[in-house]
Amino acid sequence: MSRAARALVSAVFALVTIVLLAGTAVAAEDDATSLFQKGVVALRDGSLNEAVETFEALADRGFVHPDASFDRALSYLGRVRAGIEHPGDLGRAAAALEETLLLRADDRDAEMALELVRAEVARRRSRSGASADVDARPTIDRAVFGFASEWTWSILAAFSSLILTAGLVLRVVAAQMAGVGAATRDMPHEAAVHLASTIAVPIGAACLLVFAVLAVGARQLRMTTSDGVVVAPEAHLLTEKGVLSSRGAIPEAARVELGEQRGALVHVRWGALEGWTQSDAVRRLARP
Amino acid sequence: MNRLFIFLLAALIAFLPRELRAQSEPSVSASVQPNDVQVGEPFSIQLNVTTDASGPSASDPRLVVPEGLRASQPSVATQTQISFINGHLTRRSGLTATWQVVATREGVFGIAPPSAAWNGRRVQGSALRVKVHAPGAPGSPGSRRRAPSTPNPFDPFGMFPRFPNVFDTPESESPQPDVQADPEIAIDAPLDSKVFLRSVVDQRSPVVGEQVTLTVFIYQRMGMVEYTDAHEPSLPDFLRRELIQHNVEPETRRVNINGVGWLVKPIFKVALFPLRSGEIDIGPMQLTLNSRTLGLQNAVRASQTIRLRVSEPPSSGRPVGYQLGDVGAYSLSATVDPRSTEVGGAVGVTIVLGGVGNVPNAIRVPISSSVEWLEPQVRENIEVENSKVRGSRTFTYVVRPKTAGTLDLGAVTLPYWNPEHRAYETARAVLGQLQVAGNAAALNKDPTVTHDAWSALAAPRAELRPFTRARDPFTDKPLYWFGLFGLPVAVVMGSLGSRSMKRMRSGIAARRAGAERGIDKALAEARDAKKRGDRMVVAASLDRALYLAIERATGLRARALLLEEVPRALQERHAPAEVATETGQVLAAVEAFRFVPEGAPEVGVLVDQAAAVIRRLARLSPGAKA
Repeated sequence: MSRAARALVSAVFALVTIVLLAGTAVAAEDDATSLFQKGVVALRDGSLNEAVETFEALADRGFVHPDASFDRALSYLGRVRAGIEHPGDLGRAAAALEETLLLRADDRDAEMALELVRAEVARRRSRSGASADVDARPTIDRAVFGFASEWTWSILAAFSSLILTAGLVLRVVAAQMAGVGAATRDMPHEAAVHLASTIAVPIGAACLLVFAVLAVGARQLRMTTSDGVVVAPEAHLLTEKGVLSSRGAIPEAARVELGEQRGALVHVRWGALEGWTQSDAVRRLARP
Repeated sequence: MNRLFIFLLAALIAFLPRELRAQSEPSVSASVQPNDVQVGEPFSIQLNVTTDASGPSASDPRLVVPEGLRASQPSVATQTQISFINGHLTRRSGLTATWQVVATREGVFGIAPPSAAWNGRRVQGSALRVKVHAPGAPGSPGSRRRAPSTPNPFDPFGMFPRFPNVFDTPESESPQPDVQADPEIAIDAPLDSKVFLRSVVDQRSPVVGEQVTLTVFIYQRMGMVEYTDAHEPSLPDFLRRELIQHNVEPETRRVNINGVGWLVKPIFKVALFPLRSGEIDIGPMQLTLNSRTLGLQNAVRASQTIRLRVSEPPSSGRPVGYQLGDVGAYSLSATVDPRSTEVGGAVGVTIVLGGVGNVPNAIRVPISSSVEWLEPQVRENIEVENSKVRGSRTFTYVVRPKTAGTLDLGAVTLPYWNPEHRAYETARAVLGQLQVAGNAAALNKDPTVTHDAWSALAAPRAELRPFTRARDPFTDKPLYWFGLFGLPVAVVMGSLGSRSMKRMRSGIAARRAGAERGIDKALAEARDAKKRGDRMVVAASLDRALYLAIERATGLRARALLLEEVPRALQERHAPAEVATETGQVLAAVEAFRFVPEGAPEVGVLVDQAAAVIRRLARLSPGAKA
C-alpha cells in the first residue's frame, strides 16, 4: 500500500471514530433527556414511586442537571405529601435540592423547598423530644476558606503576585535610575518610582501570602472533602471501629461535610460534631 | 536500839489499812483490745490511771510503739468518782488515754508499757503484747468483733471512759450489739475532740446519670450544739434531689470511737445525679457552731471534699437511641383511647414511664406520616424510698390520624443503662392498632389537618433549562502556581544576577588596573634605582614588571617556569613568536644583569628594552589570554 493510500485509510478511520463517538454522546444525551421526560410524566401523573425510580436512574447514569435534581426532590416530597413516605425521603429530597442549588445557586424555588423540608424535619424532631436543630454552623476552617470561592482566592492571589512583581521591577528601575542620576544629577522621576516600589512590594508580598494560603486551603478542602446530606432519620455517630459513640446523632436533611471513607463507614463533620457514620446514611452531592 | 526502831517502823507499815496505802500510790492499768488482729485492722491501747482526788492528778499520757505499728494521738478523758462504802467516803479521780493503733506488718509485737506523769514522775502500766496476722490469713480475727465494754450504770450511753475496778464486771465472751458496727458512721478516730462534720457517699465511681447519695453527718460528744450560717456543699455538676424532708427530724445515732461515745446526726442528705463524666468534686459543707456544754462559740467546722470518678456507660452494646444519663430501672406502659376514630379525630395516648432513678423527662414516640402527635402534657410523681429516688412521668398525647384504615401506632421505647445488672435494657410499650374511618368534613374543618405546607412547592420542571457549568479552578493548573510565584522570583533572580555580573566585571577591571599599577610602579622603581646606581633593585624591579606584564597579557604565571621555557609557553598561549622570543631575551638579560654584571648590557638600555617588551605585551589581543 502506498504512503498516500495509508494516509487516506487513517483519515477515514479517524473520521469514522469521531462520528461514532459523537453519535454515542448524542444518543446518551437523548437517552437522558427521554428518561427525564419519562420522570416528569410520572411525576405529573402522581406515579411517585416510578418518578423517584426514574430520576434516581438518571442520577445513577451520572446525569447532572439542576432541573433533574429539582424534579427528583419533588418526587420524594410527593411521597411525603401523599403519606406513602419511606424513611429518609425528606433527607433525599433535601439532598436533591442542595444539588440543585450547587448547580444553580440562584434557584429560588429550590431554596424555598429546602427551607420547607428542613422546617418539616425540625417540627418532627421537636415532636419526638429531640433537638430541632437541622442547621449547624460550619467548622472554622470551612468558614474561613469558604468566605469566598476558590476562584476568588486564586484571582486575588494572582493579582497580588502581579503587584509584587511590578513593585520589584520598579525597585530595579529605581536602582538603575539612581545610578544614572548620581552620574548625571538629572533624574526627576526617580523618587516617584522608588516610592511606588516601596509601597507595592510589601503590600503585594503580604497579599500574595494571605491569598495564596487561602487558595491552597480552599483547594485542599475541595480535594479532601465533599458535601453530603443525611438521608436517614438520624445518622448516628460511630467510633472508628464502628461502635456507637455517645457524641450524638446528626438529624435527617442536615448538610454535612464528608471526608475519608473506610469500608461501610464515612467520616462526617456537622458543626462541632465529628465522627464516623454508616455511608448509606448520607448521600454525597454531585459536583457540578 | 536502831534495830528495834526499824522493826517497829516495818510493823507499823505492814499493819496500815490497804486503802491508806492506795491513796498514796496511783492505780495504773493498761490494756490492748483486741490483741489478735490483721494487718491494717485498727486496735486500741488504753491506759487508766486512778488517783486519790485529794492528791495530784495524772497527765501527759505517752505510748511508744515498736516499728511496724502506727499509733494515733491519744484521746484523753478525765473523771472523778465519789463512793461511800461501809461508812467510808472515797473520792477518786482518773485519766483514761486511748490510742488507735494500726499494724503495717504481721508478727508478734511487744509494746512498752504506756505511761503518764503523776506527782513529778512517770507511772506506767504493764507491758502489752499483740499478735498481727497477714490479711485474710486462716484463723485470723478479721471477722471477729471486739468484745464490748461492760455497761456502766452511771453512763448508759457510753459517753464516759471506762473506769477500772469500780463498776466493771468480768468481761463476757457473749456477743453484744456494737454501735460501731454501723459502717456508715463508724470511723477509726475522731476528726475533732468535740464536734466535727463528715461527708459520706454511697459510691465513688458512678456512671453519668446514676444516683450517688451524699450524707453529711455531725459528730458531737455530748450536749446541745446549735449551728448557724450553714453553707451547703458546692454541687455544680450534679442534678440533686433532697432526701431529708424539712418537717422530719433526722434520727440521732450513737457510735463508739476509740471507746468514747459520740452522737451522730445527718444534717444534709441529697441524691446526686452526675451530669458529665470525669473527676468531679463534691465540695465541703461548712457550719458555724455554738455549744455551752462543749465550750464552743462561733466555731467553724467543715466536712471534707469528696472526689468522684464518673464514667459513661460502656459504648459496646449501646442501643440505638440511648441518651446519655438515662440510668436506672424503668418500665413503660401505654394506653390508647379510643381505639377507633375518624380522620382528623383525636385519640388520647397516655404513656407512663416509671422506675428507680432520675426518670427521663422525654421519650421518643413513633412518628409516621399517617398520624400527627401533638405536644404532650407531662405530669411527674417523684418520691424517695430507702434513700433512692424513684417515681414516674406520665406523658399524655393527643394523636390525630391523617389517613383512613387500620393504623399501627408502633411502640414507644426507652433504652437505659441498668447499674444493678450492669447492662443496657430497653423499656417498651406497644401502642397497638387504631381503626380510622374516613371523614372528609373533619379534614376540611380542622385547620391543623388541612394545612398543607407543601402546597408552596413549585411545579415540576418539564424541560432542562441551560445552566452554567462551573469551570475547573485555576488552582488545578500547575502553570497557575508557577506563574504566581515564578514572576516575582524571576524578577528577584534577574536583579540579583545582574548585580552579580556587575560586581564580577568591576572586580576583573579592578584586578586588571591593579596589575597595570604594579607594572608602572615596578618600572618607576627601576628607573629610580638606575639613577641611584642600585643594580640589584633595578634588576628586581624589571624582573617583577616583566612577569606582571606576562601574566596580564596571557594569564601565564611565568615565575614557575625556567627561563628557556618562557618563550615556548607564551607561544602556546598564542603570543606572537617574536614577542615571545624578545620577552625571553629580555628576561635572560635582566638575570644576567643581576648575577653576571661583566657581560651585561648597560642599565639604561636594559630598562628601555624591558619597557618596550612590556608595551608589546600590553598590546596583545584578548585572544592571547584564552
